[in-house]
Amino acid sequence: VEQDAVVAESDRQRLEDVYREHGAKLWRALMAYAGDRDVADEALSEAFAQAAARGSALRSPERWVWTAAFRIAGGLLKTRRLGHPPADQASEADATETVELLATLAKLPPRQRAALVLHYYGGYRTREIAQILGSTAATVRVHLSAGRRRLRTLLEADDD
Amino acid sequence: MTDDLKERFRSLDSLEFPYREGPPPVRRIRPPAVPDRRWRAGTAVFALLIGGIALGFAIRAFGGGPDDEKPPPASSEEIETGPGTCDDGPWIEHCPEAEWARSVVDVAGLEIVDEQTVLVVGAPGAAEFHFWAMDPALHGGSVEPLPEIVADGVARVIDHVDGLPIYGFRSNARLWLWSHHGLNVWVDGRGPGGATPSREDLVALVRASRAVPYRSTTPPPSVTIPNMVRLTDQQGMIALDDLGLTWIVGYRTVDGVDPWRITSVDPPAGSRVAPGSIVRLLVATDVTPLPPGATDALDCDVRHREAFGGPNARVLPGDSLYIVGNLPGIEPEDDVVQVTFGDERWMGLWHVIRNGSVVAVVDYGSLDGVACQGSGVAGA
Repeated sequence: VEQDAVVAESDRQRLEDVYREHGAKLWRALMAYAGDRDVADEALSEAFAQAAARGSALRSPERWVWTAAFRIAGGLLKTRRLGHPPADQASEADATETVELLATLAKLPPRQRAALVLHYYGGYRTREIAQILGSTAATVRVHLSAGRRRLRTLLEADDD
Repeated sequence: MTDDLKERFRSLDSLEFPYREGPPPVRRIRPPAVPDRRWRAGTAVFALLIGGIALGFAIRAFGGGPDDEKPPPASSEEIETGPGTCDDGPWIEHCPEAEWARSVVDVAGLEIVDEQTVLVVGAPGAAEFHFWAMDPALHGGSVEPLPEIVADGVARVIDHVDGLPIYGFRSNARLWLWSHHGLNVWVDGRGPGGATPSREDLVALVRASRAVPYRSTTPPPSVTIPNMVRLTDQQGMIALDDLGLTWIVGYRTVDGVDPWRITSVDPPAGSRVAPGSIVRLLVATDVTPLPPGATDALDCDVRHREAFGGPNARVLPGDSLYIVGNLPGIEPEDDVVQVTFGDERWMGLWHVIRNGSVVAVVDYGSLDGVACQGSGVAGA
């Protein structure tokens, strides 16, 4: 029992470290992907809650929480399609450039958005993005290619 | 420009992160209200009526004979201005064609790559793939070749360019769609018969439901599925990730098996599949606690239980609404309640309770499970 407690404490500490290192970045990535604070909050909390419940079964908790959070956010967005799309939820304190980026990303299809955010902000490679999104590297390359093209066009139009 | 994009995304760091001390408490975002079942039933009847009218119209307009007897597909101008076209926005969420395409790919286990034009590709190893481009001009007149997703040297083109689907039915777990337009496709740099398209004819005309031969420069690779029984679900997923395979994990109470360990793999260990193929892992859970009033975790004899489920690689959060909305046969009076293990709420398993008895156990992520025969849940 004592050994189990030590293991549980070690898992908790490991997850706390992951949160300290990745929590903010993951939440911002979710904001960019979902464009909605509620979805970002929910996906972040649910992912870490589920990771905590799994304890030492997670070999790579940081990858796991990124994967879980993006899938949870994707599911929430899908559910939200039945209702109204969220308004731009960047706060007044957020930089103009960030607000513009969020607004532009919102014009892209979710899969392209996710791929772009994970690649350009999360710093993940194509194969890793495929694992996070439950897709294939080939498909992610298509998402990235099409998303990049569309994002450039939209950003250039905004700049003009 | 790539560096510019990196720089742009770096601006996200300025977003104020409000949860430095720890994640916010878990809560459920209330899903939007959905109409009740009677309304949905009425809608279904109405949709069938409209579908019948559309079918009659299409048969009259294009003839019911073989493809060769049909008129050529509409020009791109007609497509852009035709009824039901989703071309007036960057991404139309409620466009009927897009909704239809989503329903197709969900069933077929495929994935929408580009929702603006609804370009749909198949999973590797599926031996066929589906395009549904509403406006080929948006792709510069061609569909990007994706040779790695096809096998056996044949790509089967089943979808159409524009317009509502006329009729579709499911057979042998494959979806076949009939449509009234052809599709412009350029597969692996070649048109039908391996012809190299000219500059003016970058795309080759292919009728819906036709097979498109193509030449593969390398034989389709294959991967051997490892034995993952008794591994944890995470170990299994990581093993499949490392092999480039896609996983679907289902959870179910299985007697006599260590909980939270993989109990079966489909296709079985040793099978050779194409990279990216979907592999289903079934993971045993702890013994499911009985809901109040129920005598058994599934109140019917083992012989009267029926497994159900289909490919659905998404893990969707939410609540009973998702299960009620996606599984037919759940009655308005039924309770759909989440299974808890100890004090832990875990969204994996849900009970469908009718008159105090559990008539089905549903796995949330893969939307499969077991139902008592006669309950009607998922056709059981």
